[in-house]
Amino acid sequence: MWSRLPPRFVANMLNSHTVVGLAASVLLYVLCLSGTVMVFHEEFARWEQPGVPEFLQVSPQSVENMAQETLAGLDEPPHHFYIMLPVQDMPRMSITADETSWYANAAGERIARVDTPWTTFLTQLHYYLTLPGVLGLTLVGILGVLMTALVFSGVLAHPKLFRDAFKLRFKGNARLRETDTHNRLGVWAMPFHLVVAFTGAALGLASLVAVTLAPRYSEGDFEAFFAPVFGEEGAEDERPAPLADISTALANFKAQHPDLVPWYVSFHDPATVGQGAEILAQHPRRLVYGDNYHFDQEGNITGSTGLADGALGQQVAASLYTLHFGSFGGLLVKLAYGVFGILSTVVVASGINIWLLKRRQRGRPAAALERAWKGTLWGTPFAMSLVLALVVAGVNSVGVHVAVFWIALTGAMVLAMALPRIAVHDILRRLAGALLLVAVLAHAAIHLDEFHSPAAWGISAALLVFASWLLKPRRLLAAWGREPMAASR
Amino acid sequence: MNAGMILVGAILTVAGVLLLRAAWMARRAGELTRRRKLVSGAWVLLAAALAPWAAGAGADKGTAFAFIVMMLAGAAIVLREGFLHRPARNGSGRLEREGRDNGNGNGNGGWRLFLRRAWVFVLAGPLSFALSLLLAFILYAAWDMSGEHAAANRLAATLIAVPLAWALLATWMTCDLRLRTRSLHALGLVVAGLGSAWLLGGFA
Repeated sequence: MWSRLPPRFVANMLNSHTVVGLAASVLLYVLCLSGTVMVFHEEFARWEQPGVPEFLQVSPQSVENMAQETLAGLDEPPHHFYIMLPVQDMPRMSITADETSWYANAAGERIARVDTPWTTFLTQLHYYLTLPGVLGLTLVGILGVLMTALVFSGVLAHPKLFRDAFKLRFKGNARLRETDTHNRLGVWAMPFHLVVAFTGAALGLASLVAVTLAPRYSEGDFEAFFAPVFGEEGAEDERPAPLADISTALANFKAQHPDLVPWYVSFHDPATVGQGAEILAQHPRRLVYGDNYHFDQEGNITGSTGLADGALGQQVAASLYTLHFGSFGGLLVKLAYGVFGILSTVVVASGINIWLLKRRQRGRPAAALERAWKGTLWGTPFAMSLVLALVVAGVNSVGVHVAVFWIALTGAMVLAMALPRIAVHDILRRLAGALLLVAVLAHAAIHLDEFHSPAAWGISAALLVFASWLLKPRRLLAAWGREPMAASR
Repeated sequence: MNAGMILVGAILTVAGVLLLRAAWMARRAGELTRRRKLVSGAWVLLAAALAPWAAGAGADKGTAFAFIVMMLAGAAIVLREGFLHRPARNGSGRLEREGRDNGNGNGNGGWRLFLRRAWVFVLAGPLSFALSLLLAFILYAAWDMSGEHAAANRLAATLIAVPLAWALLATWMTCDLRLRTRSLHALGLVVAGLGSAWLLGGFA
């Protein structure tokens, strides 16, 4: 059926694929690369503070004590107050009052502020492209739409989709290699590309849909607009009241839902008459990120939002997050998402490479654009490595990180364009490798006495492997080895 | 989760992908009858694998797992093919069909080319977005609210419809049809959309 697509239709789709691909290229590449790293944001958070105790069991009474003590120590009552319980993907406990978070040990004693500037930067970059709030989210959503369009046009522009399914030629001329790489990896990882692009688009544009429809359908109240899916907070009543009974609620929950995994205990306006209290629990056999179970002052479970067993729309909406971030199957699924993320960056890179090579072969080379594109390809990991090195060096301002990232990336593109005689992209690649290497070694030296988290070991090892690949040591060694031979002649 | 069922699902999925690869090899060898049998067998295995996946990890999560294993197996096989491939003697191979170079990035068209590109951007960007929001409004206004879960389903459908419609429209508006034809299509959709919105009381 596929091979019988009309040639004219295929040509139309190819044109669309080229136009949209060119329009989205640079930002899409930044999003794909940052998204690949973002898959491991929990592991990076553990890497940033490797000495924080990790455990999977905590008593309800410890959680209760920690909440009571934290609340009592605050200058002002918080509006939002929540406790993250240890789970397999993040075996740590933390407590957050509005903007401030602390890690705690299994006894419920707060031991350190949550301080993860690299993870915060990654989140800013991937969720918002470092732009403010809804603006950034919308731009990322638009890129998700463009990537979805690229998947549609890419598949429809490929009449030999199945016939060529296993044909990949790395050796041979450059255009052949790039075309095969783009088409084969694009096709085999197509479900991933489609899911990630579409869920990203839906999540990114949700705010804009609300801005458009809420004025007419919920009197401009965004929370009320989303309430049919995610529920809404109760009416405010700020008269003081005891904090709802967490330990009883956790015990009741465990008794009623032994197969579910409590993940967050959260409060809206805690210790007031109008407080809302709920337990967000993971459903191990579902794609949904979890469901909220409400509890009253005495700790009785009073009902759920229905994300896991309510309306189909609720279940679909609650599955968008896990599908996008690969957080539904533990480390193995994250590793698979990491692999697919790398494939997506390769597909984006090879797509533009094909266009540039084709221009060159038709006698219309765009030399400056070629260099700028190479500057982007290697400038992005360079800029990210630079931020990571700054974080390890103790520069913790997200504003500085954002500025450094964009200045480094823009500088890389400009330098690559302006210096045609120098292989700037190669220097960027090695610099990225060197920065990563220094960052990992410095991080290990700083945290030598407290390198407890297995995730921290894993991240350091992965960064070292990546740094080695960037540094191309075999070529370096070969170059180093040639010198003495040349001198001996 | 049931590890045994998951293992069975994984084996069936990988076997399905391997059969697809065998079918591809059969096609290269000109054994078309064998290829047809292998392709059929491959799809049967891939479909059958969904049952143990669903039993082992749940229906929705199991399906997601099945896709992940299928993609990993396919990518691994095709990458192996890439590394093992020997180039032809003359150093070249037949290129697959690629996108036609219709002057994008030509830089020789002057202001007319600039205006064309700007108009294509308007069609695929703001106009397609406005149309997809119009569709969202129509969907929201026309949704049957009689069911128990109607409000949640309506909201989820709307949130999904906007990016889907925009992606389809962006593909349409950037395809290789004449620009005038694309503009007329867009105009037709705007008129139809506004008319539907008006009929649904959107401007009241």
